[in-house]
Amino acid sequence: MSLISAEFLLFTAALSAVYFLVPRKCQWAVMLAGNIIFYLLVGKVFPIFLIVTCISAFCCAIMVDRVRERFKKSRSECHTREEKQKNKELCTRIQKCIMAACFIFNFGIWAVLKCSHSLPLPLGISFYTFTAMGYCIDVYRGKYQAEKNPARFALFLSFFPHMLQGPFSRYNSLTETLYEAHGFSWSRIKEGGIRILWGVFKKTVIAYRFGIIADCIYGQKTEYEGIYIVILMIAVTLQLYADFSGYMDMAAGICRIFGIRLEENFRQPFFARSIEEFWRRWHITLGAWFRDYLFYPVSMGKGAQALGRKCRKRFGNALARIVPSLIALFIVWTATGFWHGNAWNFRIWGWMNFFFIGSGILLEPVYTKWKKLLHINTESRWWKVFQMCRTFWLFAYMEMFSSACSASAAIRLTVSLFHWSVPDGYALLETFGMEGYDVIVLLAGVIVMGIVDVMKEKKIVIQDVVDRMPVVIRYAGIVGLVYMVLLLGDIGTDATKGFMYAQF
Amino acid sequence: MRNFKHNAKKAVLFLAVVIAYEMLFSFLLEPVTYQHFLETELKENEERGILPDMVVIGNSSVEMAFVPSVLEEGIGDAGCVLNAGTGSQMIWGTYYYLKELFRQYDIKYAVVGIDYSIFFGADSRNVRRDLVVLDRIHSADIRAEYIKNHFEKKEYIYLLKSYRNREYFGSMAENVSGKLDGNYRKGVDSREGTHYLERGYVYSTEKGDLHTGIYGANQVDVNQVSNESMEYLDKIVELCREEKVELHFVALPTSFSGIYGSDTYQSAVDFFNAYAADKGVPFCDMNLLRNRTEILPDDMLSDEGHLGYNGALICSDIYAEIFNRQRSGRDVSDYFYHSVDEMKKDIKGIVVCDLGTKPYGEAGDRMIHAKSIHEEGVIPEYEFWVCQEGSEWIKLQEYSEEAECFLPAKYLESKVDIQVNCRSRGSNAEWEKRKRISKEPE
Repeated sequence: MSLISAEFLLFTAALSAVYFLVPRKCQWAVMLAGNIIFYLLVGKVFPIFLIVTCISAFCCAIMVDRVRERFKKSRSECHTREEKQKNKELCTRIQKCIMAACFIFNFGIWAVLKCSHSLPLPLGISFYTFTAMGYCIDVYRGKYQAEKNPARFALFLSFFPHMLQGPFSRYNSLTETLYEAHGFSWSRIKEGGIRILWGVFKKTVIAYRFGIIADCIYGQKTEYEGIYIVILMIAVTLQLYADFSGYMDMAAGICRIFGIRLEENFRQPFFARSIEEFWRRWHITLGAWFRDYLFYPVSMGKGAQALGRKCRKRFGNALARIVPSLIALFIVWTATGFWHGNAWNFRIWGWMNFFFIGSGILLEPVYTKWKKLLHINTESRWWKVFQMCRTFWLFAYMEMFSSACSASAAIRLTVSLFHWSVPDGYALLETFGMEGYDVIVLLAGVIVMGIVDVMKEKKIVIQDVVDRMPVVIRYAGIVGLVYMVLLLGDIGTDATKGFMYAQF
Repeated sequence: MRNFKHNAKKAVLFLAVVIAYEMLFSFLLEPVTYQHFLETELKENEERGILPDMVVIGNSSVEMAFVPSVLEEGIGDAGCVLNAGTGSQMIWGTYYYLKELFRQYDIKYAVVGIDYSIFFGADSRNVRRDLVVLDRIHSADIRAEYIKNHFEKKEYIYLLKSYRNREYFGSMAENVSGKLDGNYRKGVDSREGTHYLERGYVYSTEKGDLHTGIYGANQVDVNQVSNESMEYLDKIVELCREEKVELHFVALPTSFSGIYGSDTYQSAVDFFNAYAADKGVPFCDMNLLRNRTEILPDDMLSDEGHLGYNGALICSDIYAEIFNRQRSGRDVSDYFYHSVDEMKKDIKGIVVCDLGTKPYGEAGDRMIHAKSIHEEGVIPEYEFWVCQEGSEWIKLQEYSEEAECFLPAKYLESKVDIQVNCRSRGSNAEWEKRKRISKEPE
């Protein structure tokens, strides 16, 4: 079952109908059943790995909680400070052993499947494994108590809108609304429907066309050079953005229908003025996951602190602050590269991100000095535009690199970038197998996407704008968007193309 | 109550917006179709009180084989003949279309074109051919029955004309200008190439003499009969009985050379002879017309499966005679050969010639090889010509019995036309049969 299909539409409609018809206290059970049906229909195989992760994470969190409670009780019986300290240390050690076992087990399965070339990657494994482990860490940190009901925990982990491409939901954030009962609301249906439609438009009209260009150039990489590589960079970046954010819109729209709040995963990324900021706007929840569960523990751990002290003695305060962060950053980006794929182009991609962010941190004093020297007003519009363009092109290059079939192919493309040639427009169209109207559709789509992003950046609520429109205009816009998808989108009886991030 | 009225108004407005968009995109995207010209003509005829009472129906081989005015003249008392052939029309499409026509008009005669390829062998799903027929059915119940029985649920989206024609998005301007054309509005098809002429008949100005030849043989396997197609053929027989319409079957001419090369064509003829006899329906196969290679040589086809205009005139004229005889119960066997073998042995002179090329040597040269179908005892001679793009024709080899001719690589550097002329030894004709092919540079 494709997500852009009548079957999925029917599935969602049927699930929402049952969801709102059943007694409210049973709604969460209906949603759980829906998740299982979804996984069976889309995944096509028995969700053994999902069940294993669910059971192991549930048990891990329960045990961590129980250990905490037990030791808390026994600590209250301790008389001396040393006894209390030992009690706490023992508690922490036991908890860490439980956590380690759970981590090794789940991340081990994920890593083995990731590295295996013969075994297919189960649907959504990267997303639910990381979500489950994040949940365990939060319980360990005492952020909230472990969920006692295994079925409700299964509902959280297997929640179908975020199964394929995220976002990485935090337990306390998602379950605020996931377990709640929700009444039927026509306005929520409309809002959710419009958001889903917008996501489908981005995926099937814009991402699809950019994908044609990208596939064409990747498929014949030894032949194309110069402007073609530049076009490839733009195409692969905008394809990924339209595809991924389109899916997020669909997921958020579905959740809106049910009255469930899903975390946003994109915040107008192309307005970022640095790579660091970019990753706070693009795939926000992935960045947050690595920040909270890898970067902070590493950079603030005992090892990092010891290293910081050594650096202070040798290199001074400035570097002492930066070195542990850089090491943590390196680990994070190595892990992020591996999360995307077990190939050299993904690893190099991760290290490139590390390089750009790390060098930005290291060279910040130098940049500040130069900006002062050159009297650059960093709040001026042209400087902001320059930074946004720079960030876009850096990201675009890195995406082109990671999307190549191998590191050597990516390097070949990089070299080809500097063999400059500019063919005429018709030759370009012919090369990509596109017609003139495809280009117009692409440009128009990108402009509309850009306008929506500008509005969101200015904190204009799109839904309010839509609601304020005269009824005829509103209906014309919505129906017009439906027709654009029907007539220009990659849909129909043969639409089996998946979403790009589902491969991770 | 007020809420309900308000919501009802919004629902109606929404529906109106959807209908407006559908109409707009249907107009913008739908290309110029034969159906428009047919419906315009039928409407004009109805206003003049001219209603069809005979229908010839089937796939494009029927659509391009029968000229209604020639049939009317030949048959005599057929008031108005309607050619209801459509491209790739399957037998179920014929059944539902006939149902519709019987409801609309007082039809007395129905001639169903039999294309053996529809009845024997595997078929792949093609929703467009069923949509063409669906568009010609206006009765709601017949449409509903047709959709229910022949469209899969996932294909219902094609019922939206805008979606169906979305591949024409790039030619929107052309579609619109075609429809705004004065001739289009008058129902006159003034396009080049294949176009509509009268009452459903579509003709091609292509000449077959240079484009037909000895193809892969017209092979059929009667052991792979399509049960669904036969089921609908039975239904057509039953329908015509109920409606008291006189039914005839006819197989339309295809390229002679395709049949000549086939060792199974006879089995298809036998199959339908037996079927038609069992059902009491007159049947004839126009491919087995006596002296067919002189009356309807492959030159008269626009391609291997369809007659050109001149071929259709001749076919319609001859069929009108056959039809008259059949409906008065007279024997028509003298019009036809008794078997394919008899036809093959009765050819006169050279009836088809063909050519191809094959690599020769290492330097990119090629060898042209020709062959022909001819009467026993006739010795064919071949003359070879070549014409590079933008140049004049050059004779490579004079007439001789040599069926091969060397083609140097230099001629293959650009697009090249290669032609073989064929005549009988001793003939003074410039050529009796000829064949031309084009070859792109390698």
